[in-house]
Amino acid sequence: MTHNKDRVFWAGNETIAEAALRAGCNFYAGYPITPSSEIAALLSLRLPQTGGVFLQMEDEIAAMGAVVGGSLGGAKAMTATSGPGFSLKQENIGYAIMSETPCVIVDVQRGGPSTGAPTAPAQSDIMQARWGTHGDHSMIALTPGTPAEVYRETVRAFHLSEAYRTPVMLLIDEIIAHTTESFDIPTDEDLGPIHPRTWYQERYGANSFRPFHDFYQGKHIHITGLSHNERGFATTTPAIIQRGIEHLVNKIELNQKEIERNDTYMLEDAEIALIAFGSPGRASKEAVDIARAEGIKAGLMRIITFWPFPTATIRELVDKVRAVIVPEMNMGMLRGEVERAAMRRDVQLHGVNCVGGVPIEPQQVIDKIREVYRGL
Amino acid sequence: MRTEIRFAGVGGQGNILAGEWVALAAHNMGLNALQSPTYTAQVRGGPTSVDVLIDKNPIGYPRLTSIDFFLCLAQGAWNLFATQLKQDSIVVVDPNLVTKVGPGPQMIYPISIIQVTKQAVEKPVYTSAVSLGIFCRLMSTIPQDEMIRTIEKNAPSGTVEKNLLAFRAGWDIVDETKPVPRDELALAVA
Repeated sequence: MTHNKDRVFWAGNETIAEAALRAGCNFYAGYPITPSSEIAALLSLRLPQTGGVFLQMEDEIAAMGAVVGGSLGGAKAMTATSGPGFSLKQENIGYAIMSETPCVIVDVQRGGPSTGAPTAPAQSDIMQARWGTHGDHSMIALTPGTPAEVYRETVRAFHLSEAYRTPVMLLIDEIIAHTTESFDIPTDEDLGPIHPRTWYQERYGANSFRPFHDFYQGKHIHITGLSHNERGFATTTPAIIQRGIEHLVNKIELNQKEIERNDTYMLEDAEIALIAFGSPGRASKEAVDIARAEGIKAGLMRIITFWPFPTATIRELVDKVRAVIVPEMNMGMLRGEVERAAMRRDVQLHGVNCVGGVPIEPQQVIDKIREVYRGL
Repeated sequence: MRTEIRFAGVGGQGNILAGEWVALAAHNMGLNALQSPTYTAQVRGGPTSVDVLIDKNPIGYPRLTSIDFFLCLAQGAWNLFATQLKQDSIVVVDPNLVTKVGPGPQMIYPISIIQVTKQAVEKPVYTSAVSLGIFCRLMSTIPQDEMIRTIEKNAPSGTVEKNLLAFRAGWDIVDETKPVPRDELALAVA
């Protein structure tokens, strides 16, 4: 049998660490937390080998502060955490948003609230990713579902964080993190350009705030979490504050088409659409195959860019189908967003919700598809 | 064809390692392989299991739904992880450690795996290699030479020889073992 040299056998956490290095990550600060710790463990070995910096900080809050500092110092910076640590990081994530500091935050979702179920999978942090920090802002959060996609989206997270000068969330779950699997590493062509850290400083439009130089480049710069003017100094002028916040939101929302990424399966003639993200996407795909074999026209939309939410795409999809089923490992966070996207359209909306710390099985999804189909 | 494999026991027995090596051997053969461990916050002594999926075709749902091979080394692990078993699943238990088995499989191979390990290499730390020998003898998924190559490549230095001895002991014990009906497991205790 052939053995492709680019074919690897990696767990999701290992894949993220390797893809981060491919993207040029040269700074990691974190605090170990299950089920994300393997990312830190691997980078603690690999970063010093490649001239990068690995910092284990005293806690999650300090780790996020160090990531912001590392990025302002000119590094491609990232951290990884899980639910409770993600909660602690929120204040400094807000600082990164306000100071327009590119960085990547991996959240390996586990059962919550609080300490919850540390070794069990969940998908209940997606709202915290969007709204965990206070104040108006937009957010980019990626939710890959397959091993090759985890690699590709990790690289893309760095790219997007620099393109839009904002923290980017990479959300996976414990199943993806700890499942070791054979897959082909995406090629350079699949990944797109990997830029040096400084490229984005030339990339700003008429309505953007001009990026600052990094620290230690001989320039005087001023960074603050306060509302600030284009020179970085605090302001109380309402028009400037207004413009600053609109900038934080619009730089992402107005570029949704560039950022949005979904995967679709058998949706062309579907009467029942499944909408899923992350690992339940695989159970959903199997359920679609079973349904099709039974003559039920089912299809799947798998969301890869969760934030900004693919509202327009889902609205268009909802117009074409008779029912929507949302399998997710939470109590309906995605379903709520789908409902908002669908507005008052006359479509049935159902959930398959699993919060017991076990994966959603294809059987649960197909049972729901059959039930919904009978009622159409 | 999709093959579903699970090794279960308590943390420290090497069950997860056994599963990793089966999956790695399959990956090295160019097959699609997937392995995912389940464990509690308790590192040693808590119930653990590892699921392995091997398929020529791309793997869809990444968990087990219909197990072909199940090896279990603890009653607590049986109670938690003896799910998705079929009537004709190949099931191996150490009858000194697993005494009560529920419905599902018709026949069970009772093999005193810990005892076999101690006899072959003195230390129970090589249990995982004995389990691999049993797996390879009972299932045709991974050829013996491929499994041996995987052990040689991945065993910590200084332990290859004993791992291979343990593997061989596992392989051989299968030839001396007959599966018993589920209800007669208690009679099989040495």
